[in-house]
Amino acid sequence: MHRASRGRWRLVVVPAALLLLASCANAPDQATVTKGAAPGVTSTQVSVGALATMSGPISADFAPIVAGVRAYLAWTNAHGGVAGRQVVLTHVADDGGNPSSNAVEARTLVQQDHVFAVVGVATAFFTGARYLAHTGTPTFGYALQDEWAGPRNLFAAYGSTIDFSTLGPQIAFLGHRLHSRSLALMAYDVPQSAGVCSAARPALARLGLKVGYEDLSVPYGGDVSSDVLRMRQAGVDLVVSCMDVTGNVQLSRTMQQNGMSGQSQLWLDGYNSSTLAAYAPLMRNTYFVVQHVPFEAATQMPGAFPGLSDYLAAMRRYAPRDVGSEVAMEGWLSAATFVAGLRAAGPHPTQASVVSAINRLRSYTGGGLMTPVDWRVAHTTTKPPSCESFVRTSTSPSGRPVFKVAFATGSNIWVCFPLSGPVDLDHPVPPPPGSPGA
Amino acid sequence: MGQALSYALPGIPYGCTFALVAIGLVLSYQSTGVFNFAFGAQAYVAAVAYAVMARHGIGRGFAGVLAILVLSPLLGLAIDRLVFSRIPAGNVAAKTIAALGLMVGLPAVVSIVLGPTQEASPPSLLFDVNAVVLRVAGTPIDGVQLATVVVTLVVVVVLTGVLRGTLLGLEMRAAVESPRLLRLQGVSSRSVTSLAWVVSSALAGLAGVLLAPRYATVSIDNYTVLLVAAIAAAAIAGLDSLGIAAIASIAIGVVMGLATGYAPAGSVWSTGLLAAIPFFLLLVLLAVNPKLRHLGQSADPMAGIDPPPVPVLAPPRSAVLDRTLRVAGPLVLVVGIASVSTWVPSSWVFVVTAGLGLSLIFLSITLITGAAGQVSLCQAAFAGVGAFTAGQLATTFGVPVILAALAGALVAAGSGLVAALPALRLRGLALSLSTLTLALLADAIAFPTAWIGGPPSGITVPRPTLGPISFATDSTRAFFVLVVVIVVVTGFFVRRLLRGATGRGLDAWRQSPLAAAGLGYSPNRTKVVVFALSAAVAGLGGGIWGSLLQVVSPADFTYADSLLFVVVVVAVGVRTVAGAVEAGVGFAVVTHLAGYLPNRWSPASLVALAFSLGAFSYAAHPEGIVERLRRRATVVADAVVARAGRPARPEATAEAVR
Repeated sequence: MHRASRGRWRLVVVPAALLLLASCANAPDQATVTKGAAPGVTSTQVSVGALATMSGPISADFAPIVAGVRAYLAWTNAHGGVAGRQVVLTHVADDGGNPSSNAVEARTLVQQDHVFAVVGVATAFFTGARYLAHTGTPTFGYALQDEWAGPRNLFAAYGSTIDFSTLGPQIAFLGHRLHSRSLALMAYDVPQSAGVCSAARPALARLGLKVGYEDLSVPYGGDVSSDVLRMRQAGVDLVVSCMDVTGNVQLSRTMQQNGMSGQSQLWLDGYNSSTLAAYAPLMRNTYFVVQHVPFEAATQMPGAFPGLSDYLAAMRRYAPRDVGSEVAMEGWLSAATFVAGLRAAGPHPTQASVVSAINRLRSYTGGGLMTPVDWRVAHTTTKPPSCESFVRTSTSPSGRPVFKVAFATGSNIWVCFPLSGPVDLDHPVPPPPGSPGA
Repeated sequence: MGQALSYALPGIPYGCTFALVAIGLVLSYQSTGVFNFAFGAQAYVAAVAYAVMARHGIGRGFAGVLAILVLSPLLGLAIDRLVFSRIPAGNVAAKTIAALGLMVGLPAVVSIVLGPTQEASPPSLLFDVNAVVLRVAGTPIDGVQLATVVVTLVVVVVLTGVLRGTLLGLEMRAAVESPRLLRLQGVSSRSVTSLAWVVSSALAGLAGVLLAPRYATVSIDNYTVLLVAAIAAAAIAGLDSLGIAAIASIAIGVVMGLATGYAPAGSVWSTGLLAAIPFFLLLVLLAVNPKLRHLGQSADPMAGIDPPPVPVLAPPRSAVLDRTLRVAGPLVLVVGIASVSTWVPSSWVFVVTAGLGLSLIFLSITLITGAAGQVSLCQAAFAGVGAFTAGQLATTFGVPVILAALAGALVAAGSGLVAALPALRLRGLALSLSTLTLALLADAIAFPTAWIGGPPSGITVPRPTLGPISFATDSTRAFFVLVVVIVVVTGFFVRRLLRGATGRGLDAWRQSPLAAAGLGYSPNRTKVVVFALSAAVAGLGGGIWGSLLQVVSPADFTYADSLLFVVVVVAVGVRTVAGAVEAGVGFAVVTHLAGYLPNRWSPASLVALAFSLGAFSYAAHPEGIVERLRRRATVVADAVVARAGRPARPEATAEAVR
């Protein structure tokens, strides 16, 4: 009897389970968009959030963005706020460098904290992008990923598209100026690092620069002695590192120990006064390419960059530890873009109206800190020419290690090349109209 | 030849960095009887203290002395007095869990005190890290490398002399082998053990301070990375000889240096297989070295005079209270589920659902640690196998995610079978080491491989639909109900398993493997079954958890997660299905609440510290905090009922609570 009832039980449960499994499918990724929403806006305040890697081994690469956002908002509020409202960074979400945490934290900022905008996104893995895009949340930050490109409510500080290949002519320009005969490319085995170096390779070959050695799969924190030995054997005289500052320091130290301290280096990360203070002996002959007006332009070319003077004054007052941080600059520019949209949206802003207002800006320089961004198209294309400025390490008359703007002509600090067509390394093209200093 | 030398020579100082940790592991084991998983964490604490003092302008010599000779010994003394002296010598599982608690808790304390930002690399204690102090056959040796080699040699000679050639060394080893016999000789075994902790902690401090300038920042990860090669070297030495541990470490360093030099840059050899050398070495050693199989087991000839521990009894409760609880318990549960399904804010629905997803993974720990009494340290890796399988099948091949999660459970079960193979000959500490090696192997090599763990930015695990019911992003409440059903069904099967023949076999095996074998239970079969089942449950949990998050990456299933998961479940309650669910939901809720604290308070570290403190009580209360509190509450409630005039049921239920 017992066995019979168990058999009947199976007769019911097994087909039911199979039926359930047969009806399984995958749900499309979707989220609700509320038209005309203005969460976090009161008569006196607009609440915004930030989403960054604030803890963990790579936090130093991203956390300073919050300091830049805070400084810009404090500076704005000190000048009366926007339409009588204070703009306040009420929530700082930390993803700890974990992709799934990033998506969760993005959802928390919107669903639980009800922020009006996410101002200051800086992370290696922006997995929350799709959710923020779907919900129409105005989002501003530091673009390291392709996730920024496309959605009209995601605004990266220098434009939302990333085209790593534009760095190729810049690296070739540096190699040409330094009369390099053989250069090395070094990167971690992650797309954000290896992608940059490998995208630059075709332009280098096209422009006659020899890549004598490359390792685009350096393990994070790994030993690079064998790389350096091979570089030496290949006669490398310019090392281009697409790694972060931790890897750059390790590489430079190993080069120095192996008698390669005279070789020039190009670092894509590490342009920061605190890094120079800590590792000056390892940063001799080191160059950087930067997308904003270099901090040193204020002293080298006094009066030419009023936007930079505002930045430096505000940062010294509100975030003195991060004055010379490129990531803090990304935060400042992110907040500046948001506030520009908020002002343009008028006294009754909604998320949609702020997004729409920014997308009408056609020559936005973040208050004179970068070459113009045309937000009508900057979500999908990079407008030519591609411009960068160069900085190199040097020594002040008092013997202190300092950064200096390199390859400037008068107050024109920009080195620009067309995105397509022939490139003449001896004659870069002029920067676009409206570029600061040009 | 010249080239080979140029690749091999840097391996010597590199190997000496492993050697310092390996010597520390052997010393701790020899002199305290504890396999000190937290040695790297102790080194990290000293390194941070040194870096902070150096940053504040204290001279590096004075700062080094303070960190190595004052702070580290005090830390060792505190660890001994507050943690290990309270654990019976023969309780290997409790010692292992306490060491894991320290491994999780010490970095958390640092983060809470100093904030989440990592300290920059401090200046070298002895010689300049940026200066080449000598060249050997053309190979430059910097200050830190030279200091590491010199200090390693000095440490080996001095400590071997102390351990082997002095009365103190003899007493240290005797205190591990039989504290009672030592006491019969008129020697305070407690003082000797404390001294051993002071010495081994000072050695950890020395390693921490010495190695810190090698890295750009002072990070716990730098010290953990050294652990695998160091454990392998310590294993070669049979956890017995400091000299052999040092030589083995240097040999590993040289082999890795040669292999790195000759492997083509960017090839699969340089990106993955080389890093796997120490892992495979350790697994093979654990499997073939008979000495290592019985690590941690007491050889004390007087161990038998201790009475067996008193079984934990369910407290008596009156009939009224019993009836009330039988009704109130399910009622509270139903009301809770109904509330979360209807009116609770959606962010909290997400938190509770995440907790339930975690509790599925935690159920696997209930099986292997709670039922089988073995501390497995790779359960997060099994969860990762399930999650990545589910993600790859659903995203790449369009398989419905529920089916993909079930397939993930099967693949994880297969991984469990593979993991059980080296574990067949191991138990206790050796089994924990073997599983930790597998977790580190998965973390460092398997999961970062794109066809397993997807790209570094993670792999999408979609939400499911069942017929007309969607569980998409906007339907987290529906997803919550689905997860409740899955947890209930899985919990039901686990409970049935624990109460059936397999569970009783595990019980017997946990308490006496020999007696269990005498009764006809095959330990090998039991081990294989329990590993496979626990891996399957973890894999299913990983898939479901991934579907909730919608993106999973290798960062979600690290070795550190494996350790944290064990610590959390053990702290809350490892013996019951309810304990796993309470641990999962409790961990998710506490973590979420901590998120309201400012970042400078390091909320995640506060949570890790809280649970690691709970793990320290495992020896005294293996039933866990929640079960303990529940029993206390029952006693109080029963007293209240009795005072109200109702007769209490006189006899205690003699059943030991599972």
